[in-house]
Amino acid sequence: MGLKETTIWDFKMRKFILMITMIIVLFIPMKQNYVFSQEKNDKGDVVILYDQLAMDTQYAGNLIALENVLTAQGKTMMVLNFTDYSQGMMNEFSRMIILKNSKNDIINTELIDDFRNYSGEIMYIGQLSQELIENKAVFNGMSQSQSSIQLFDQNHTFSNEIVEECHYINENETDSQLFIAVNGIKHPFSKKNETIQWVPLFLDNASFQICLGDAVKTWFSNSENNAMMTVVIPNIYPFSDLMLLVETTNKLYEYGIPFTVGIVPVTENIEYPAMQNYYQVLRYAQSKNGSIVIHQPDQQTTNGIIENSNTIIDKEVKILIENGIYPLGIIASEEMLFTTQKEDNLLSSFSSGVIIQNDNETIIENKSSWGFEKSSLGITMQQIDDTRSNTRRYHNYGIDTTIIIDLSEDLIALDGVIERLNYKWMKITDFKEIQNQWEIGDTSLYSDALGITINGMGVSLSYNDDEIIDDYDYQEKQQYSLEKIFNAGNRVLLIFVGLIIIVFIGILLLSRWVYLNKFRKKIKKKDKEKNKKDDNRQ
Amino acid sequence: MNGFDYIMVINIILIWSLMIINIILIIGGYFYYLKSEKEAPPTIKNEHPFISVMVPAHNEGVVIVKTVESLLDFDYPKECYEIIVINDNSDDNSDLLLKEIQEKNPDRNLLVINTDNIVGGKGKSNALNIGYSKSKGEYLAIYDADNTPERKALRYLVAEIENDPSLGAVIGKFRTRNKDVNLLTRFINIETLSFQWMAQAGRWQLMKLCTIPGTNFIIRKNIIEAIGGWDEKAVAEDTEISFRIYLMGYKIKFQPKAVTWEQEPQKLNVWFRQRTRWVKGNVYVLIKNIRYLIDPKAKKIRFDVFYFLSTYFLLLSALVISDIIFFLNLAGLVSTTILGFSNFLWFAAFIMFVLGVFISLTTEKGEMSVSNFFIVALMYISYCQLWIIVTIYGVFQYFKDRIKKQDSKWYKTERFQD
Repeated sequence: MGLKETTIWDFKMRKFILMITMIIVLFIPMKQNYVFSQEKNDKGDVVILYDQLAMDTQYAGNLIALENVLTAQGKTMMVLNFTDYSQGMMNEFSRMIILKNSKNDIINTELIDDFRNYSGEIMYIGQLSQELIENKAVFNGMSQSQSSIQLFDQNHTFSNEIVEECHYINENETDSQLFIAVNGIKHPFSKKNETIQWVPLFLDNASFQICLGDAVKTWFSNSENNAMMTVVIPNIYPFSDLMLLVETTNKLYEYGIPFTVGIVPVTENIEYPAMQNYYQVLRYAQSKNGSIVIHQPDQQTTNGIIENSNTIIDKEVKILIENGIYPLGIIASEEMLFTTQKEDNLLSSFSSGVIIQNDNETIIENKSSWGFEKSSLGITMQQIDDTRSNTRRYHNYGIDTTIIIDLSEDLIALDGVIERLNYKWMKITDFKEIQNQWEIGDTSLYSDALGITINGMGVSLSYNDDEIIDDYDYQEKQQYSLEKIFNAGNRVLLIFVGLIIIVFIGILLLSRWVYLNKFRKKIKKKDKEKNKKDDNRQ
Repeated sequence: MNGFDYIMVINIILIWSLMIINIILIIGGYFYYLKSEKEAPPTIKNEHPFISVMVPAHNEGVVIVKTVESLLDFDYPKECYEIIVINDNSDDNSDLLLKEIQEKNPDRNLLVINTDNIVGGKGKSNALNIGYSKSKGEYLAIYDADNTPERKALRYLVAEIENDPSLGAVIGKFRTRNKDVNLLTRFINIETLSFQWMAQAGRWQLMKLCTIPGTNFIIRKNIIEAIGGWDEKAVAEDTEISFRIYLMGYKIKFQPKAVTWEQEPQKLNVWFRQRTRWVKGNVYVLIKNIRYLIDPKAKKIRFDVFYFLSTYFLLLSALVISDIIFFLNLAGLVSTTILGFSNFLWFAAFIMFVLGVFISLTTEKGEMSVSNFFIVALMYISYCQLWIIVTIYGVFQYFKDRIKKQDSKWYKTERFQD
């Protein structure tokens, strides 16, 4: 084999390897996603049994907070009150969470019997009940009233707070990476004994949610330490301050912070110029590292009818795609995951979502949920500010989180938020680079690190900068308001100028007559005199 | 609506307001022309009053002989007028030429005052004050050194002022005698007919207002006495004196039958310097008299003060600022939502301009021609724009002089051999 033949063979081999690599790269994400979907449990991942909502106590809202933690991890659940429990219900689930907010005795014997015989994994949150945990001493629990507490995870120290009643594990040494400091002394956040993992205290705030989320993740045997953090600007609609959005986009882009814009579905009056401007601004944001997600349709405007939500989503997605905007996921309150059925629900077509706090009151009845394949817990910038990182770089939390930046702030306040975000050296994930997919009607979307495809075809997010200027929104609004004035002025002046032109033409005709009379007479007179002279000569 | 939008709206209102004012003046001027055509030339009903015809001249050797000869040829009793030529610190052969004319016309009242750089050389107003101090006439008639007035021009001016005691001065019409030399002189000829003669006629017809043009006018000597002579700081002495006449309660009438032919600049740089002097002079007069805009006793000149204010400050500012905003907007440096009016409207306005100017041309023999129609159209995009530059430069120079506390220099317009 000569040198020349070797070179050709090398070239062919390289070409072959390159093609194989490309095929693998193209198909791996789809395959992974498919496997992920197959793992979902139709009955739900976990059953939550709670004794009471304890609305007038420090535990108020912790059931919803717990649901948020689970839905933010894509977990589905059935939620039942102790009194509504019937024999055998928990056995349909391999995992169970007990939320015990009171010291009251449990009177449902079916629940007590089933619990004692339950072979699955149990997470027990709250006060230990003698009826359920016969050997309470093994958990070494203690109580203390009016205590100052502070939470810790592997990388962060959360803000401290005062609680009326603190339950904790009276141990210092632990291999746990989550702690709760009570009056300055660190204790484990949770403790496991056989199949029961006890979390003595869980309150409705972001710090507890993040720590419990971390514990739940481990409890679900998810040992991966790759939780991501994203940024979302929610509640954007056509009459938002779009200039501010452009400014924020530019600032985030300048700092290399990828972000997500949460848009409120608007399917009416889309032919208005303001809507076209709105879409332009969204395209601009999309081209500057921005991803687009849709807010769940407002159930109030559709009378709570599920079909209406579907109609809105169906229309909205089509309109956005037609306008070159590619919604990748959905922003939803966890409540929505309970109040709408997964089957025939277009919201559930989205594989990814951001879970935010409920706008409405908690629905107390027993319920089942559905979940996204990939979702994150919405947290405020205040939470970030209140949490101290143990290192210069602000590490991501143990679970996927999304920082919510509210555009209702003014530009200066927003600048401050973005500056702080930038200063913390966070690792912010580009939403479009995580695997997002949906299929609605004839349209399907898929996105990952390689880009966004619609019906298998890659789409471009590039944008011509000349089409938009910084204060685009202001300009368009004013143009619209001044357009009428100027059109009216234009008409009035056109009539005026037209009349003047007619008057001038009239004067010109008159002046021509005057001119000819004045000067031609003289010429004629001169000619006549000349002719007379000539005649006399002759 | 941002700040630039408000500025643009104000600009548009200003530009269109002044455009409308000029349209009204053209129409008024034309009707005055028709009226004056029907009227017989004015006649002197009593004895001919004695007139002092004054000609300030600085290095005017090229044109002075022709001017003085035409003054000597007035259709007016020679014993009833004197010609005073103020040869103001000239370093050309003007003195010799004037002496020759004196020698040729020993029987005529021709007085030549030669000044040096101590008493003279300080501008037209100073020269006129020197002439005025030697004058004997009841009226003073002023002609520039490059003028060739028609024979009856003085008679018509005298007749008008004699017949109406309410008149403080009477102005005649001036025409361009070198209009066919080049495109610039053609433009000036059209400008003279349209913006000077028609606008003057329109103001007289509608408001009984006129402004002395600097030449070919007659004024009562007692007015000059009362106001203490010409303001020597004013480089636009004509505008200055007009305001003073009105403030004394007199009127200034326009008599288009009194015609003088004037030599206009044939080179752009000469034109530029002359017009810059006009602008600086008018800005001086405007600032000096701006208080009359709100003075209830000065309602007669309020329009003129406003007109000058509009032309030199408001319209100029409107044009300049709107152009700046337009270009900054194109460059993306500022934003304005004002898109303005349709192109069709601006085109219609252009047609209106051409027709309006062309109407003025129909009043003079030989001017109503197709070539002039196109010259008017060309004028809009060239000569009119040059005026904007001149105005900016003149206003800038005026304020520069004020900051440096310098008196404005009287630029002597360069003359050309006919």
